[in-house]
Amino acid sequence: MQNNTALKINFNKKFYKLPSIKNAIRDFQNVCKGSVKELERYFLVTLAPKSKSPQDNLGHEFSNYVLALMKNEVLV
Amino acid sequence: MESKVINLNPQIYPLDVIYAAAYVLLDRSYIFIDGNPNKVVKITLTPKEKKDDADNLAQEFNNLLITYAFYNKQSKKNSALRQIMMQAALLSAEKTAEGAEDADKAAPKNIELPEDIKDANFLEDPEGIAVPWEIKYKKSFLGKKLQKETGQTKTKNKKLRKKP
Repeated sequence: MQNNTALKINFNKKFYKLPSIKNAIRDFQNVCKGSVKELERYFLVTLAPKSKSPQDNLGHEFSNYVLALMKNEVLV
Repeated sequence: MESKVINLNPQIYPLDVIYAAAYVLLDRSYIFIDGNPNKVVKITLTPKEKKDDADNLAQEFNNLLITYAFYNKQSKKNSALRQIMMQAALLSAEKTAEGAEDADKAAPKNIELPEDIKDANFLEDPEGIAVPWEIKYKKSFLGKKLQKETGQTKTKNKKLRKKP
């Protein structure tokens, strides 16, 4: 999941939606630079933190944020 | 931080239920969903704070799953009844709106005033009927002012009056 600088997270296509992931990347743009790549079963998200300080929970926070966005989209 | 993986049967807990339960715990834990939606759904729970135990969070998550599964089941069961109630409410609202429109139509739109009132100036008071506000409420206004100055309230005055 974690590289030296960039984080890689595999989001299962069956559970996570691409628009929510893209929105999350856009919302996190002040903290990290993100990109998404579509694989066969997963969306591979790469997050490169902008600051040099270690951000242990960035991946966790990002995946939580995607889940929250998905829930909100269902509500709307 | 310690993580806990929960394997769920999607035939028992539908995806909507899993999402709803996960959403409740988002503020206290990091949640990641993986697996196969037709066979096993894997939920990884990682507590955000050290005081929260992963096992306790997992148990709480299980309870939430049951809560939302029950809610989901009841919601499906009552969906027909809910639909009927909504239709009834909308129909009654429609009828009241139609009634209001009919009342508007029935009401005369241009009321013609009598000739003597048409050009009347209501500021004039030739009969001397109108009483200015300051004069009409002069007594009570002065009374309050007096109370403020003396610092006496009405109740105190009453007590004083009762005494011989």
